[in-house]
Amino acid sequence: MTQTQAQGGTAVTEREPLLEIDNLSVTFKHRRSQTRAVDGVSYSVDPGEIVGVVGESGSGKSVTVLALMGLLPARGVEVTGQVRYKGQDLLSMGDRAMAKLRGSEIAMVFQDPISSLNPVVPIGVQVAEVLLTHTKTTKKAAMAESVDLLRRCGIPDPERRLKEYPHQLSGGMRQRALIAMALACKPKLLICDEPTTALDVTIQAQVLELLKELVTDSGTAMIMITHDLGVVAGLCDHVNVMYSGRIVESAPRQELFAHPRHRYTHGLLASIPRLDLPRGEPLQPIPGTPRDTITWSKACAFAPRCRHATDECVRPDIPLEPLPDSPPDHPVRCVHPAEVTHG
Amino acid sequence: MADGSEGLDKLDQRDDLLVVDDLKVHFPIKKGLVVDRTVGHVKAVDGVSLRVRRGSTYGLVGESGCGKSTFGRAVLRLEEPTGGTVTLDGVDVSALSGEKLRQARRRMQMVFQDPLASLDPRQSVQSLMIEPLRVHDPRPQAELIKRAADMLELVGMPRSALAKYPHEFSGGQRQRIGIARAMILNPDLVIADEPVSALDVSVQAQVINLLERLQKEFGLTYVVIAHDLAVVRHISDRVGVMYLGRLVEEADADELYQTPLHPYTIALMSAIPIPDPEVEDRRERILLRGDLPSPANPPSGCRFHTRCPYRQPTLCDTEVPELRVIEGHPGHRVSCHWAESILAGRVEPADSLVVEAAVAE
Amino acid sequence: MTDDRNPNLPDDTDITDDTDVPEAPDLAVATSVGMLERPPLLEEAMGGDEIDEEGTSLWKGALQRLVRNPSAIIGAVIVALFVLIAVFAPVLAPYEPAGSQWIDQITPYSLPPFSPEHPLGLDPFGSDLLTQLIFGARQSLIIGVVSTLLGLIGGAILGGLAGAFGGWVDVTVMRLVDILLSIPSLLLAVSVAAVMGRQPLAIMVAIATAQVPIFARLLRGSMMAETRKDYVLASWSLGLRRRTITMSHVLPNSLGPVLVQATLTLATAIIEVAALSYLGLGEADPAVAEWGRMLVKAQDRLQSAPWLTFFPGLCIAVTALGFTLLGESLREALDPKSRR
Repeated sequence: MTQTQAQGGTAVTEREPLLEIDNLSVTFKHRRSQTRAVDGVSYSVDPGEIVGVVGESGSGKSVTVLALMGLLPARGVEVTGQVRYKGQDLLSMGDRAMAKLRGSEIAMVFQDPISSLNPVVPIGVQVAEVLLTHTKTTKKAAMAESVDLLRRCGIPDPERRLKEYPHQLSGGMRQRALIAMALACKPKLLICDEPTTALDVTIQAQVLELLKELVTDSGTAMIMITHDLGVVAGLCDHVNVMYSGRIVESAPRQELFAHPRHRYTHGLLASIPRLDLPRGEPLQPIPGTPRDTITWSKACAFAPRCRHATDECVRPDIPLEPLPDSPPDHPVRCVHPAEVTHG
Repeated sequence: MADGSEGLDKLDQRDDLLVVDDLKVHFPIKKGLVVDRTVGHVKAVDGVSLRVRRGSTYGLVGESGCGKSTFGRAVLRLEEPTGGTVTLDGVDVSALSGEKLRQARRRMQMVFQDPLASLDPRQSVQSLMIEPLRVHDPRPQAELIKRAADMLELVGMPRSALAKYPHEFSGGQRQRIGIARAMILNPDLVIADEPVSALDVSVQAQVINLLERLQKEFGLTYVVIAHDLAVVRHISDRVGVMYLGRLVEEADADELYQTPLHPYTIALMSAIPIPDPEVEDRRERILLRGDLPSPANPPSGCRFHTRCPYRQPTLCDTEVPELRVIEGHPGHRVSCHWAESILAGRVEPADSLVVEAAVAE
Repeated sequence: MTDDRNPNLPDDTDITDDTDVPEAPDLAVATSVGMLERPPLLEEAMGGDEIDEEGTSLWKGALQRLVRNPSAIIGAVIVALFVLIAVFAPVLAPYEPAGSQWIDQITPYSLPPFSPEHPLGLDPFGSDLLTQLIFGARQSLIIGVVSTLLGLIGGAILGGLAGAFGGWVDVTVMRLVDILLSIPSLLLAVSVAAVMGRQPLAIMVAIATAQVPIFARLLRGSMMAETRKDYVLASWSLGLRRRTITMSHVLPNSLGPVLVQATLTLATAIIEVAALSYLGLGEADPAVAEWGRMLVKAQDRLQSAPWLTFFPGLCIAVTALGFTLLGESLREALDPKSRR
């Protein structure tokens, strides 16, 4: 999965991934300092697959997808590596071709729906615009299609809502409208960047359910970026955990939650209170803050916060590889991984 | 609480540090070009009564717009209540004003959601920390600084933090400073409004544990206001659920999570994602329809009836349900006409709103 | 943490938050927070993090950003240059000002050419143009600065009252300000000058009066916005006195935009001084040098001696530019997020 050494262009298997991110790095350059936000990230998404990317602020999870969508500013940012969508490299693609792909083949849903929508254009027109840009259709047909899309995205009374402006909708409705826009051209890949973080839990449940339904019905692949392990647990097929610009652990969802091996994943799961477990157990916090880090080129970036760190963790570029006692589709970047727990 | 459990009530009364009775906060909606006219009221908090036992933690949950933050602020008189009383340790705080109110404030403190916003960016940690002491307990500067340093140490920050400014810390560290600042006056009651929701996931547990440790150390009483049921359940002894300005259910934490009786609580709990695929695949999810109605124009009858999956053709949209104790569940108050029927399984949620478990095949 | 954000990133990307910090600034803090013993090699690899015991306040940080900004430096140099020229005018100027000892060289149709004695030639009144320009800096700067200061003080008092007390004080003050604002500033200036007579003070008062509403509204709005912030609420809940909250929390946090505006207003004030003297409202003595008036006097000879208008015009433009550059970079330094 994450080992993306493609088997050569010719050896096409039926499991050819839809999107392959290969050794992607993003560096932000300041006047004097450089910050590597993404540091050699590789993962791939199969058609119809839901891939989760989990990490906290500063882990580079959002920057990765902004880079592949070509949404990072050109000035002061250096992007290296490859991103292949259906075999085409997205990073070397021209702006025009990329713009064409965006919205029609790859669509994105952002965290904050209010800033992603144009405040002075009715939402119906905004949805129809996407259709008009990417497909050959008449204005009338596009509006009719918009009504249908909004309805499918759970917006009640879409004919009336069509004429409303973003500020007249609630947060949940706006996010639905945004999802409707994203799905307008039946994209092959939907990227969701914290789509429910700004929403209340009951609304989050509605939106997640909607996404799950739409994606499974249409066979759209999805990248779900979130800080919430709970969201990932119920939704994703495969999960990548990111820390400080690199993937530290990658596994199918059942495997990851049953046997978290990286000390970060393990620690994260132990530090969040759970609704379904008996009360009274004290939480086991991860020490320090995400700022206490070291570059991967010197040591494990999580080592400064890790209770299990030893001198052995101080080595450059610890590889992301399957452990002797873990399945091959569960690579971990850790010198002292957690024991496999049973039960 | 005057119904059903009076015996229990009297016993507890001496132990109640905070008693809130029928608290109301209504914000006027004003319109008009030259002269503002009041055209209506947003009933942010509309008659909430609760008691918090000394040394315990009361968790108040609800979604944005339910009035939980306004409630917290009204208790501390940071927002003027429209009606009702707040009694702290026998003192009617809602009747105080001017200098008396200012003096009384040292006994009740607040921890804010966003620690960057709640610390003055232009002041050093030292001046932020000693400022409240200087007002309430003037002593020589050196003594104040020492107390500030001690307090910082207690929350796990070094002395050197005193010379720095809020923007130089990470979110978790800032929240520690915010907590230290609230605790330095040695208050009795601390209201924490979303104390961890602005922090990184890996840092939240540190702050939760810190709050628990300080409670033990100083015998503090907490009211924790949050939208995250898992966090609230973890730290609270008693939990109240708010919806559109009203308390809809209240019970001891374990009881509430084992036997939620109000349809809103049931839906809220089923909506929380659990970081365990096994559980996620097996659980049934009850979705709510639509959005929160406007608090300026709340629905008639039970305020939840417009979104309730268990809604019945009678009573729900006409009669306002009382917050009442359910038989067989002492201390468990709920405001639903059909609570007993839901408990007995005689009333089922509407099919269209139930998402079946994924492992059906 | 907010100081060095990458200005180009969209707000909702997570990198703006933590990765942007060049290095973990206080490891000692973090370690004690986590109470974590780190292995020696790791400590060593992370090493070299000197722990600075001194914090950087926002003002200090702003100053540091300001001195690193090239346009701030250019602005400051220009302003400093003109201030120095104004202060040392008697030393710098080759002759006495407002003298017309070379009047005999002037004819209605021609001026004598540039000469070593008069590098910029003579003005139509027979004074040395360079001397007049140097002394003109005095007039322009003093009138500009004093009028802006007067406007700032007046506006700050009014706006401060409105922002601090709110309620009926706010309503009264703001209506007053609205009335001031509704009178065209030029008309206001002419009326003031008419009442006070032709003297420099009239120009100062006139310009200041026109500026009062700007500063008053700005400070009031800024204070109102700050008052709603959590840290003010936190101050109330700690039981601080109203006076302390207003004076040591709300006011210092509201001053930034006002300071920026004051610097920018200095530039317009200097132009306005010129404009009002152009209209003949300033100093009664026609021989006293002032850039604006020098422009007027040169008008008749625009064809034959264009440099007579060019030099004072250039002086006005460059000084105004200096203040504008300074003001804009001050704005950036005080609010790094606004940088685009």
